[in-house]
Amino acid sequence: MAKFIKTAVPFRRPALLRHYAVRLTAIAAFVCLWHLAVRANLLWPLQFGNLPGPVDVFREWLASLSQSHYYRDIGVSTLRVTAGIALGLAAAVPLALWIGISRWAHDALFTILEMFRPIPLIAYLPVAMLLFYTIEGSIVFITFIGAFFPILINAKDAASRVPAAWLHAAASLGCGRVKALWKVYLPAMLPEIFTGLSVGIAASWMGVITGEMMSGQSGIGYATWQAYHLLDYKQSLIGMFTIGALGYASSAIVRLAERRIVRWK
Amino acid sequence: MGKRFKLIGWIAAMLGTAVLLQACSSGGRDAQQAQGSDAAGEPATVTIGYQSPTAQTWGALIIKNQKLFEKHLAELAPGRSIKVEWFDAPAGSVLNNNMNSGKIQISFLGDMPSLLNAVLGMTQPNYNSVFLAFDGKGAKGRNQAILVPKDSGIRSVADLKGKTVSTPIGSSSHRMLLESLRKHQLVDQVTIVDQSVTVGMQSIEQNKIAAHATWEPYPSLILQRDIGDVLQFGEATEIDYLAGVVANRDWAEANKPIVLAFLRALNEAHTYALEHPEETAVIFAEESKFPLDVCRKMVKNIRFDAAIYDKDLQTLNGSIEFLAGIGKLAEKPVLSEFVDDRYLREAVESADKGYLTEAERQGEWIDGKVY
Repeated sequence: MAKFIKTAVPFRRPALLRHYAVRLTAIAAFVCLWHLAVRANLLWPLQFGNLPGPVDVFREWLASLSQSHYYRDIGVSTLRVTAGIALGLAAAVPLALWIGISRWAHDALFTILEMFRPIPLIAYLPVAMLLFYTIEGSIVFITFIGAFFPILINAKDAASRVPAAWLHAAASLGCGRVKALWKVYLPAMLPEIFTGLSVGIAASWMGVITGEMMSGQSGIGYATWQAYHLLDYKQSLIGMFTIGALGYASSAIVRLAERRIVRWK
Repeated sequence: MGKRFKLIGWIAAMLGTAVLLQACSSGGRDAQQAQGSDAAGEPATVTIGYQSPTAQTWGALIIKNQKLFEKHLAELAPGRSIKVEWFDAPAGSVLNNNMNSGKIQISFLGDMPSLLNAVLGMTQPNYNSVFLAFDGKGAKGRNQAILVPKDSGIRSVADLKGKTVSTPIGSSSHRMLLESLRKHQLVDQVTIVDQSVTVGMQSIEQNKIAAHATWEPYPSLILQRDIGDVLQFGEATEIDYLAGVVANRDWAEANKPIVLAFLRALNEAHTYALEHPEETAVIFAEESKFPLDVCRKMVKNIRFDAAIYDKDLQTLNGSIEFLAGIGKLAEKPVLSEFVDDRYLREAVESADKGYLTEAERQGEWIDGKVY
């Protein structure tokens, strides 16, 4: 056994290195293409020449990295998105469980929810403004909507697919109906909840600009929006990339948590 | 085996991208065409950007509604089939971004967005801009106001101390707000946050913000619906509030007859507004969807005048200083390069009207005489 592990590990290393090498090369190639397209002032088939070049953008990004408001924006947005996701999770999972188990709940609730699901986040803006007492509440509501539906749909499907045999088995071992929710349904739903969560987290980040259009002073979404309004294209791209990186990081955290929690998968 | 699949996957992806780009490019070529080569007989599209949420750009509504541009095109560019398209935008920035990418050739812009357009012309590799004429003018800051929610208890600018006030950052109203606060030595004691005019209106209605600085038609709309009060009108600052017309310079140089036709249409629209106030209000209401009473007030309060007076250039210079002061200018535009009144002169003279004399241009706005 010990011998096997010793030989197994060196095999994994180069493979891992190769994966990372490919990833880094892909990013470098992307930046290179971008640079060349801008420098050549390429205007056909797309007007790449109008974009700022990567060198200018990265130089300005580097300058942003030493400014405290950049981190404050990131912090504020992360808080808003995290709050939205936490609320989304707390609301979607019990609801999904109920809809998944009860035919009545499915008929009564799911129809309404399905009608709200396809509505783009930006369309919720006036409603969000009307519903909440504070602007902060409206913003979190938008990020909440982003996270809520993907989690709900995935978790609901999982809940309705739990095999009756498992429930019978649990019941015959003395597991009550309420306890079965905890011991059978939730563990069975976990992988799908995580799938929904990783989709929802991305959607929640997508909503951050929509929400922060209202904020007026803080957040990475607001900074990106304002840069667009003031035609500061470098800052717009920095905002885009920052949101992208934050979204990527949050998905990575979800995947990590999934590997830790859903060990049986 | 796996490698071969990967290769096939790559090729498929490349092909897919190529097809997609090809599909996009046909649209792209249309856009190129829209910029209008001047070969006679070739169909070209001219897209004009305007803003229904900004009353001082509503000269556009008269031209659009009465088809004045088409009328003058028929005179000045006969034989050319030119399609006129109108693009309504919620803010000047949307128009600026579209002008930069060649989708819009002429835009009605407030003073600040037009200066940002000038900066675009200096910083972007494929775009140059030219300021052709003014549209709406608000004497001494008229047509702007600081609004407060109903029964908010705020009765003077001094009451704003320690409060949060919103305005579109980098707009004329922002300048007006800062100027008002400066007069009360409150600049450092009021938090200014960025809100678009629509979000700002809602915030006033729902009492979510202490005050909001904005421009017409919103102050009049708020008063008409009785959902807020005016704390102070823009006139308190004594700084003219201006809106103008900016064009893509390369396009304008290549399509001079079209530009002249447009400016003649603008001129006719302004004369129409002066001579037919009631009809103009009806057009405004029809095109902008704002209530007729509000539109009547707009016709009365806005001076629609294309003429470029020297004092207007001074006002714009002040705006440049303001934008530079709040750190929103990558480069300072030079007005003598950006503003070009030769097109306007030529258009006015081609309509057998005399343009402002040197002395008139250096003086005050002339009552009852608009271009």
